[in-house]
Amino acid sequence: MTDDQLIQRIETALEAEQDQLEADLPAILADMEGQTDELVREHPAVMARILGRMEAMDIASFVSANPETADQFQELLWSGMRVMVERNPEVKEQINEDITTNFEADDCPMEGHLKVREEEELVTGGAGQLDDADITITGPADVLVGLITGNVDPIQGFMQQQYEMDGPVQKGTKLAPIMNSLSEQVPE
Amino acid sequence: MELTDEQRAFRDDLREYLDETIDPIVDEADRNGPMDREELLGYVSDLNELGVGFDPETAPNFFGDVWNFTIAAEEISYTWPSLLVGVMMSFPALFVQFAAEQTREAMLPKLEDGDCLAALAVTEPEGGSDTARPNTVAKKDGDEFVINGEKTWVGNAHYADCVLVVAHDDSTGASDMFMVDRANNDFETREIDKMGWKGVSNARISFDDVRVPEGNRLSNMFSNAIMAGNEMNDIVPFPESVTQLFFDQKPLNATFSFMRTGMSFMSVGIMQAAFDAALDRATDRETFGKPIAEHQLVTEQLYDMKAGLETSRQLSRRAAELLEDGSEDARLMSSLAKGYTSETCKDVTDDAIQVFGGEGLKTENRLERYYRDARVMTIPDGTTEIQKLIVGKELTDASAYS
Ligand SMILES: Cc1cc2nc3c(=O)[nH]c(=O)nc-3n(C[C@H](O)[C@H](O)[C@H](O)COP(=O)(O)OP(=O)(O)OC[C@H]3O[C@@H](n4cnc5c(N)ncnc54)[C@H](O)[C@@H]3O)c2cc1C
Repeated sequence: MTDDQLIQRIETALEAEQDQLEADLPAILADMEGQTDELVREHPAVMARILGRMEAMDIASFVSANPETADQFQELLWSGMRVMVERNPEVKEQINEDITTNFEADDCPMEGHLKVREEEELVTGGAGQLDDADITITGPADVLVGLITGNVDPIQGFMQQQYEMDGPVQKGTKLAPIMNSLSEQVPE
Repeated sequence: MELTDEQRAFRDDLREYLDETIDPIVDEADRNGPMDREELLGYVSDLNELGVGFDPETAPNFFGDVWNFTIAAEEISYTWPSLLVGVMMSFPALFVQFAAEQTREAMLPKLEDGDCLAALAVTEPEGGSDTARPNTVAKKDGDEFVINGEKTWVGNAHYADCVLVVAHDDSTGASDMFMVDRANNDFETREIDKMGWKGVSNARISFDDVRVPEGNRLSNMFSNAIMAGNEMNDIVPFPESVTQLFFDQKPLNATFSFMRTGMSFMSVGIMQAAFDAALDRATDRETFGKPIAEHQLVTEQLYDMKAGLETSRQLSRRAAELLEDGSEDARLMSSLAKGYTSETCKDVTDDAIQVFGGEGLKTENRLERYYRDARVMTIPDGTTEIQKLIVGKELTDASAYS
């Protein structure tokens, strides 16, 4: 399938009702595998729409029903982040410390990680966990996704105990502005 | 535990002030019922000079230093527990610095002058100990939250400039806190007459369509402050180790661990006062031709009181050490200490009255005040039963609340 065909297919799926979209998504995510960076670069608005629709879903039950999508969905999410950081000086300005973070959903089998690298001014992320991460963030899948896409303010969500954060407080507070500036880049 | 020279100097100056200024007036002041705003502010200003207070200049070295905080809790309570409560419960005033503009404008000058009194409103008439699900609701309306509900037993509320209110945040479904300042939003209070801690006011509050800017939601205040480049410790007045517990044990629990350790030292202060009085009496008072200290049953009472006092002090210090270390056991130990010392305080002040005989019952003497103040200790900041539930949960990871 060419990129254009894939995009066409995604756009059609996005027109559908939520139930239909949920049925179509596993196949779409599978087709996108391996080329998400490129797709995000070429079609940022379409990718943002998928993320937007996924946020409206019950992510935990979707991932529980389709465990193979957990990594694919994250690949899309993190590709989005990588591309946005590459392009946005605002995010780079916030990076002044190395921080490694693991994410762990407590309501479905979804694990991910985020690396902030000061020297390269990079934020990268992906599925699976890092050894010895500075910070571990645990919570419901929709909150974790919301943290990355900006639906959940990192500090506000923490104070309201929507999720838990383990690790040094000083690193955690440094991570918050980076996550906030990342999510500000997600197209509406 | 050895105090440093600095801590000893802090304690000695505080003792001198309490002996010279508070001790001579405390009996009458307490008997006359709650201090009013002006009286409390007068003492707050004196205490600020000694390093005790909740203004931005004093707080970091008071709330920010576990030992200064616990020394003050014990010493002030030795002389007048109500005064400690009035000062300690004003700590939410510090959050004014990070509130929305209208609150900052109205309250910051007062805070900086040391006369912004505050209160923490958690307890509700309906919910009582069950504080996790407040009935007070904050509904989002545009850029504001509209608060409706009732709080009760709130220390300082009657004359406070601002109140930090726990409410159900309807927009997120979570519990949060909201700063209500009286300059922009008045609310009604009704004072409660009570058996002990008579010198400090507790009141019921009604919030009837009270509107606050969204920037007055505590989680927004934290978020805004951190985005503006503050560290967590610029926002909360507690030591770094306690702020770390915010992460390890949730923010509200860490705050309670800190306050309960203070309460535990408060009980120690009351016990020490009752014990000192009983010891004097035991050597002065004579019956059957000799001092009552020479009757073995009285010796036994002194033994029991001293044992209660010292075990309580050691347990309180252990809780303080764990707070200072940021230990994961801080929550368990602060609840154990608060529960144990407040119950022991009841026993020790009861024994002290017994050692005094009929004199202990006279309202002109202090023994009955010690006893009434001690009786209060087992209820606020979590009843003894709630402390037992917390300790049980920490020990077993099994909740026995319901
Ligand atoms: C002097 C004073 C000052 C106070 N200051 C403040 C303040 O500044 N701000 C504030 O918000 N609140 C304040 N409080 C309120 C205080 O925190 C509450 O009184 C306390 O939490 C208990 O609630 P309650 O009085 O409604 O008792 P209830 O909750 O009605 O409890 C009644 C009895 O039932 C027991 N009980 C309840 N639930 C359980 C359970 N699950 N298992 C076993 N036993 C249980 C309790 O231990 C108690 O013995 C103050 C109270 C007092 C007396």
